[in-house]
Amino acid sequence: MFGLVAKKELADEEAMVRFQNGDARAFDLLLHRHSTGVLRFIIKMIGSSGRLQRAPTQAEDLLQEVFIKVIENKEKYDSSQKFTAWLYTLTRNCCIDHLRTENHRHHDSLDASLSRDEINGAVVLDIIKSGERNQEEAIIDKEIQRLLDSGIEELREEFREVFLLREIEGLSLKEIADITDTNLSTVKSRLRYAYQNLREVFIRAGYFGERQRVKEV
Amino acid sequence: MNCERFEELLIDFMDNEIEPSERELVKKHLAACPRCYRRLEEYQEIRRIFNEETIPQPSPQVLATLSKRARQEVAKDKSTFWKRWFYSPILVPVLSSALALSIWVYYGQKNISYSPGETIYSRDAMAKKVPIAQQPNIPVSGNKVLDKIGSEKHAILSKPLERGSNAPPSRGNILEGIESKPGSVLSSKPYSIPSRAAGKQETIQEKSDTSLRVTPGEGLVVEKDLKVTGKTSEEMASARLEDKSMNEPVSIPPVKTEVEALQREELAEGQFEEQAEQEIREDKEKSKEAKLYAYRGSAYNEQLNLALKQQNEGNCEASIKTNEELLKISPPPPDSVKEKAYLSLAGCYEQKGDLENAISNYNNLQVVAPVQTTFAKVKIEALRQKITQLKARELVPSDTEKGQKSK
Repeated sequence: MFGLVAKKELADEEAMVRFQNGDARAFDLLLHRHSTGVLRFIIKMIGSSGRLQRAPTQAEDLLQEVFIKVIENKEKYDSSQKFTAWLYTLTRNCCIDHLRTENHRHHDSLDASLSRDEINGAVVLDIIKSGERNQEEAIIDKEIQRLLDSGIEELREEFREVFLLREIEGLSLKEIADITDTNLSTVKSRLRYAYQNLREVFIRAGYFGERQRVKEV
Repeated sequence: MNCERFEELLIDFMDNEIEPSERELVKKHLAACPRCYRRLEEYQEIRRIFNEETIPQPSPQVLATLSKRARQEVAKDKSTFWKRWFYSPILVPVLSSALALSIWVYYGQKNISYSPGETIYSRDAMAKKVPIAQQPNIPVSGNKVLDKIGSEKHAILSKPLERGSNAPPSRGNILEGIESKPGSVLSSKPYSIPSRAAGKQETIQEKSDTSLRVTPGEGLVVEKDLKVTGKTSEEMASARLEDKSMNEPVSIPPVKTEVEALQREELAEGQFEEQAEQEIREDKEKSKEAKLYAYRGSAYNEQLNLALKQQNEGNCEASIKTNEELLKISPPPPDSVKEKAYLSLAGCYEQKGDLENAISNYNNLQVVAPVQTTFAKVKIEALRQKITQLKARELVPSDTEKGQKSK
C-alpha cells in the first residue's frame, strides 16, 4: 500500500508524534494499520450489512471523516494517551453524530426484532437439521453472521459500542471507560449485558440449543 | 461462588483479566456447574463467530485521498510555520538588536587592550573605542594653539624611527638589539653621534679602543671590540678603572636613550599642559571682556537711543542730561557713540539757544570724529555769525525802542 511497509516496531504513538512533526509517511502507517478496524467499527455501529449494501459509501464516508479529523486535530493529540483510544473516540463521536443526524438508529424493541431473528434462526435450524452441512456450510456461516449482525444491531447503543471496542480493537476495559466517558464498573456491566443479549438472540433463533443437541448426538 | 458472581467474572475470565485467586474460584465453579460452563461456551462461540466474519476493507481511493490530504496538511503547516516566523512582530527587533550587538562586540573589542581589572564597560575602555584617527579632528575648545599643540604631540609620538634620528626606539627593540645575533648587530654600520662631547668621544675611542655604536632601530649598543683585544668585558672594566684617563670626569654625551626620550616626552606633555591651561585662561578672560563689552555696548546704545528719542520729542533738557551721563560713563563709550552724543548735544543746545555750548560740542565732535570736521566747522561758523548778530542787536536798539525813548 503506497509503497509503504508497516513498521511493526514503530508504536502508534510514536508514529503519531512523527506525523505531528511533519512526517506524512507516519500517517500512512497509521492509516494502514487502523483503517480496517475503524471501518468495521463504523459498519457495526451505523447498521447492518444489508443497510451498508444499500448505502455502501456511508461507512467509507465516515471512515474518511474520522481520519480527516485525525489530520486536522493532530496537534491536539497527547502522546501520553494511547493512539487507538484517541482514534476510536473520534470514530465513536463521528458515528454518534451520524446516527443522530441520519436517524439510522432503530428503536425497535428487542421483541420486535425477535420475529425477524426467529425467521433467520429458523432458516439456520432448517439447514442444520437437514444435515447437509458439507454442502451448505458456507450458507450456514453466512446466515450465522447475519444473525450476529442483527443481534449487534439490536443492541442498545451503549452496549454495542462497548462490545465493538472490546472485540474489534481489543481495548482494555479502562480504555473503553475513557473513550465512552464512563467508569470501569459501568463498562463491565454493559459488556456483560451485550453478551447476554446476543446470547438470547442466538437462543431465540434456536442456534445454541440445537447446536448443543447436535453435539450431544 | 454462586452463579451470579460467576456472571460478573465471566467476561474477565474470558479475557484472562482476572485475579489469580478469583480465577481458581471460577475454575472450581465451572467444574461444579454445567449451566455456567455452557454459558461460557456460548460467549466464546459468539466471540468466535464475530471474529470469523469477513473483515471489510476500505477502498484504495479513500486511502489515497486521505494520504494526499495528510501531505497537503503537512506542507501547509510547514509554510505556515515559516510565514509565522517571517511575519512575527518580535522577529525584526530581535534581529536588529542581535545585529547591533554583534557589530558593537566586533568593532568594540578589536585592537583594544584592557588593563587588569578593566572591563569593556568601564569608562576608560569605552573611551578607547573612539577611533584614534578621528581624535585630532575633534575640536576640543576651538583654540588653535591647543590644536597645534595636539597635532605636534601626535606627530612626535607617531613619527617612525629613522636612521640617524634621535628618536628613542621601543623597549622591545632595544632588548632585541642586545640579544640579537652578532651578524645583525655588529655588522651594522655605527652611527656618528652629533654631540657636545664628540671630541671627548674620539679620545675615549682612541684610548680604550671602544666603539660606541648605534644599531639602526635597535638603540645604542656600547660594545668593546673583543675581537681586537681578546679580553672579556670584566677585564676591560678593570682596565678602564686603572686607566687614569678613564677616571677623569668625562662629560657623557647626550645619548638619546629610551628613558631620556620618555622624560622628554613627559616634559613636552607638561609644557603642553601648561600652555593649554594658559590658553584656556586667556580664552576665558577674552570671553569675559567680550561679554562685558557686548553688555556695555548694548548699554551705550540704549542710553544714546534714549537721548535721541528725547531730542526728537523736543525735550532738550532731558536729552542733554542723558547725553552727558552717557559721556561720563566709565569706561568711556567708543568714539562712534561719542560722535552721535556730541551731535545730539550740539543740536539740543542749538535748539535751546545756548550757542556757545553748541559750538563747544561741535569742537568735541571734530576731536572724536575727524570725518565730521568740515560739517562741524560750517556749523561753528554759522553759530558764531549768529552770536555776532545777536550781540549787535543788543548793542543797537531797534527803531521802535528809539521812538519810545524820544517820546
